[in-house]
Amino acid sequence: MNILCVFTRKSLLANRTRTVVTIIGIILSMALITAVIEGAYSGHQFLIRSVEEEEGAWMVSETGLTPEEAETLRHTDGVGKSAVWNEAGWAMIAPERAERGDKPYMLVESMGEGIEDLLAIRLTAGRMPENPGEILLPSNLSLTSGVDYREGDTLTAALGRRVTDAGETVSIFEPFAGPSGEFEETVADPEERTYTVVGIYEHFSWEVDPYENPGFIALTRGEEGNGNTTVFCTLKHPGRTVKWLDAHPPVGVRRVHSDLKKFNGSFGNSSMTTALYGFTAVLVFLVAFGSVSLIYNSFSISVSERTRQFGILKSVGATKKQIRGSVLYEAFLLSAVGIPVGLVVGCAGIGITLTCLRGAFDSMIRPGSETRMKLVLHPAALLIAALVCLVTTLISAAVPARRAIRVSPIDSIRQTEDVKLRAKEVKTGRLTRKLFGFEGMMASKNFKRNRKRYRSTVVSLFLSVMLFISASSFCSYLTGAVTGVAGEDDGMDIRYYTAGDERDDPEKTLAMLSAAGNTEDGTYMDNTYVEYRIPPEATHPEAKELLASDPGQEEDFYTWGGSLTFLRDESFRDLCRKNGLDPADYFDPDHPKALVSNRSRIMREGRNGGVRYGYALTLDPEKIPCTLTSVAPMEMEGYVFTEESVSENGERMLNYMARGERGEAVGEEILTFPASEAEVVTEYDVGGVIGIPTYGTAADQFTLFYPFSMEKAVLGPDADLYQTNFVFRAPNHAEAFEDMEDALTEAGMTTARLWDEAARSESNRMLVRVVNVFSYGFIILISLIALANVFNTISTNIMLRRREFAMLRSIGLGNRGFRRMMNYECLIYGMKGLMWGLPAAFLMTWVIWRVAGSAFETGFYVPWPSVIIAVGSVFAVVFATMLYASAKLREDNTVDALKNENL
Amino acid sequence: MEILRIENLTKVYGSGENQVRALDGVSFTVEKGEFLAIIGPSGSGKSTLLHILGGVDRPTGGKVWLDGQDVYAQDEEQLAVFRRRQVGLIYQFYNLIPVLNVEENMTLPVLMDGRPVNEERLNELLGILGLNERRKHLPNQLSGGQQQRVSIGRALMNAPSVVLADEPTGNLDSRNSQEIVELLRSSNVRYKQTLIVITHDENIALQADRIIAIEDGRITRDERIREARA
Ligand SMILES: Nc1ncnc2c1ncn2[C@@H]1O[C@H](COP(=O)(O)OP(=O)(O)OP(=O)(O)O)[C@@H](O)[C@H]1O
Ligand SMILES: [Mg+2]
Repeated sequence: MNILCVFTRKSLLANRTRTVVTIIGIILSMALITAVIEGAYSGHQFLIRSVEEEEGAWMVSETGLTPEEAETLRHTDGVGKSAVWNEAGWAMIAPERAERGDKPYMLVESMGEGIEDLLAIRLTAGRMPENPGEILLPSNLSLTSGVDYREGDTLTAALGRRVTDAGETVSIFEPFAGPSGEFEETVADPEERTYTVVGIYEHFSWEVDPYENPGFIALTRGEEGNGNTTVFCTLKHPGRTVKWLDAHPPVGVRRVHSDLKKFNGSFGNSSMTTALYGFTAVLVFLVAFGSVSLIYNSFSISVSERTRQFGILKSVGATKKQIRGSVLYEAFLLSAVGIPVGLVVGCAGIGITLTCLRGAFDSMIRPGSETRMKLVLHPAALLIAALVCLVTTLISAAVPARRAIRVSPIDSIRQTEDVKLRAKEVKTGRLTRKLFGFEGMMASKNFKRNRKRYRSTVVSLFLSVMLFISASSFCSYLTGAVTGVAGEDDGMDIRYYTAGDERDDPEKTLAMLSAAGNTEDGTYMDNTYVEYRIPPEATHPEAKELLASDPGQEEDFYTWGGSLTFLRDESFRDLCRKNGLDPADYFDPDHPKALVSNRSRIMREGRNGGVRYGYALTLDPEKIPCTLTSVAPMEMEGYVFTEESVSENGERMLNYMARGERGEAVGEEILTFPASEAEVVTEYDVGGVIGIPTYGTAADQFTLFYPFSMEKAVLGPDADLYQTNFVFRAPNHAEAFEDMEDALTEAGMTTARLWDEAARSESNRMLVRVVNVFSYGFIILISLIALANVFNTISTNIMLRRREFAMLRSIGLGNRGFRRMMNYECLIYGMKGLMWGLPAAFLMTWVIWRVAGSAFETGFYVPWPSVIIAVGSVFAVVFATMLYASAKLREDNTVDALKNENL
Repeated sequence: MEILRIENLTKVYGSGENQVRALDGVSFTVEKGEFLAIIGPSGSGKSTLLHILGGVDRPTGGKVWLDGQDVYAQDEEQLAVFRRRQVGLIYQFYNLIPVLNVEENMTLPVLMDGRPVNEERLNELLGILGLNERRKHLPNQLSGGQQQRVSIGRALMNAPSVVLADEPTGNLDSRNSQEIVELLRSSNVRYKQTLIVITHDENIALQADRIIAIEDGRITRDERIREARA
């Protein structure tokens, strides 16, 4: 074998600790990079798979094509899998729904070959149709239309084309025009058809079946159809969807599978996207920085020793190429061990993490979905990770070699570059002298004259502090942003409302539902949305700032929308007590007073034209009590308010028209009244401020609370808020929901007004949990990297100074003195590391804050607990490493060490 | 025949106040096969001169010709080959590779040149240097004198045309010193090698064909004692 390879291998073996730590460094870096890349990729695949399962794998669809056009589209460049369905026809199946403006049709589509691969057709009963006489009905048909078919029923319908009275074909994107619409529509050339119902499928999402579609889509197979063909297709390069769309203009009406497109990397221009990219960039930066610095440090700490050896090699005739070769060989050897192990560790780590989090991921998607989170490996990404690691290793190893190549051999041997001792005067402070004695003086001289040697340690400490704190900030802000964008949990699990006569006794309904659902807490309220007018002097500066940019604001008051809530008296009293207010003040019917929940969730225009979320206070708490007002057009029997206008002399006028059956304006006649006469002003006396209560929307909205019994006193005897809202907190929301459903059915009340809110917010909560788990994993890995980094640098550094210590020992430095010297050095390391690390960490935190701020408004803060941990750990790790290293040194025989040129 | 020509060589270390003129306009020539001793007080620039002759340092000014070749006009690659084939350098402070054993250290230049090791020569050298028993030892397991002998072995292994030795006997007793000098001398005669030795030892200097004395980076004396034997 080549002598230089022998040399390399022997060096590695001789410096076993350093070699092992370097390999650990490579393993950790590789593991981290792998975990990040594969984790992201797996998550991405999971989202794509769940969308594909949920909504089908199709990416582009075109409707309204002739069969020939459909064929052309299916054979267009870049189109992957494709399938069609042919319109068999429309049938009016529920004319009474048409009158209400609901879906009245059934739309029968005949499925072509392979459509199951592109659309998610999930059977809830029966089987797929196999021939033209069989039909599959959507689940929403029987649910909402009042038309109930079961498996095995026969269905007869008159199918024809849906056309306007002018004979033009109407697409599924046109809602039912109805008899009073812009056009009359009919089913042309109806033809009687009889089908056997073979099954029910879960109706398509809006991406396939648009909201406007006035027909329930029923599926059959093998029918010719009326020539109106729809193509569904995938693209060969989903990442280039936008390009494909631009290059191939639509022939029919085109739809793009927006969820799938989004998850394939074609995001829109939203502020969340900006934040997402920003966070990813910061993450990649931190990881890359951490691992590169770890590997680099592992090599560079022994630079001076290596430089010297390269110098000797060179002086006995090693060429540049040979030295470079030896370095590459070394890097290769280390990588050959570190990279595969790191790869396995990274994959295993992220695989285990993802498996553990399965439950959390499951609840993010449709219950019962078969898509499960699992580790999906991306070979190309792994290769890239390995290459990044290898290149880093190579570069780190090559730097000292480059230096050795550049300078003359004798300079390398003397290490004039690396150990640039400065013969400058060093004054040791009196305190140092007192605390650390002669040894402290030695150490401080060492430190000041031989900065290069200490630099690697300080740099590794600095990096560690920065990485740790930045990682913590990153996680903290990310969690904040996710919570912020998703909205805060309002704490209410189940919601119900009553209307009409059922509103008469809310206490009874509350008691019934609470008992049935075995709920923890529950209340009811009447609420409405009010445009409050706030006197400027009572407006909080935060709100003022927001309103300043709103040109529609009047001068003598600000308009601020919010909720007006009449809360169950008992809950209201609770609210008062919780906030230290006297309930008695609020129950005077002659002077009703309100409590205010002062915070509003707001959306502001973010950078790049997106929105970002935040909170703002509305009233200035110092100015309470104060009075707000609102105005509304007066009610007039038989008439409805239509719009405002301005009269010739500049006065605001209110217009009224005759009231139709459904409350719509009818006729030609317009009545106008001056606003000053026709407007009713309501006053709201605000008596106290409360913290954010957990009653529904108040978490996000400026809200005035009155006792339920004060409703008429505030709004007047004729006021009607039409519905009463109930909210419940139930630990087991799913069970409570079912029990309440049963109770309602038994009581002959509708269940359509009952919602399981918790199920909806569950996925948000899970998202936050996933983010948290990843954050912790990330922090742990980064900390490990930082730890390895510091340990590596300090221990090697001490080992390199073996000779120096042995010499000091040989002239009489005792163990105690040695310890004092070490302590002093630790102190300097720690201080210096923090001196650079903390500002850098704060700077990174600031960058992260800016990134988070593009989606979510949040104040700048530093994660102090992490800072304290970082400061504590710095000293702990430094001292521990020093202890370890000096324990090893103490085992040394002084003479051996003196002679030892090798570490 | 002239093998070495040194012209107006200067070497300046540092800058400003700390500037040191280690060599200050040194010129001389050396005949092929000559045994030249360089003497001078400590810090006079002897090692500096030797390093420059050996192609491991760079002069601040002046030129060095070896065998008609301007040494420092060569590129790095040629210089490396020059170091491994033309000169054998014995350092004042051995400069052995700590992780390589005696044998490997000695054969380093040959192996680096990609040539097979001449076992006969290796054994002969090990025998003469008294390192036969130590051939598998690492440098830190050797005494100072033994390490010195390994570095001599390394320099002689390739039978270079010029051998440069910086106090090769600094760590040896007089009997051992004499043996080393004899070894160098015989190699000098046998291979017609040019031998340049820095020494503080008057006995050794007097065995040379010629003595150059350096003081403060300048040649103060250049004295031929006898005709070259090689
Ligand atoms: N790297 C350096 N930087 C600064 N000055 C240097 C350097 N190397 C050598 N010198 C100075 O150059 C001068 C000559 O040094 P050199 O090593 O050549 O002396 P020497 O004659 O070999 O001494 P000795 O007999 O003690 O080995 C000395 O004054 C020394 O201080
Ligand atoms: Mg010298």
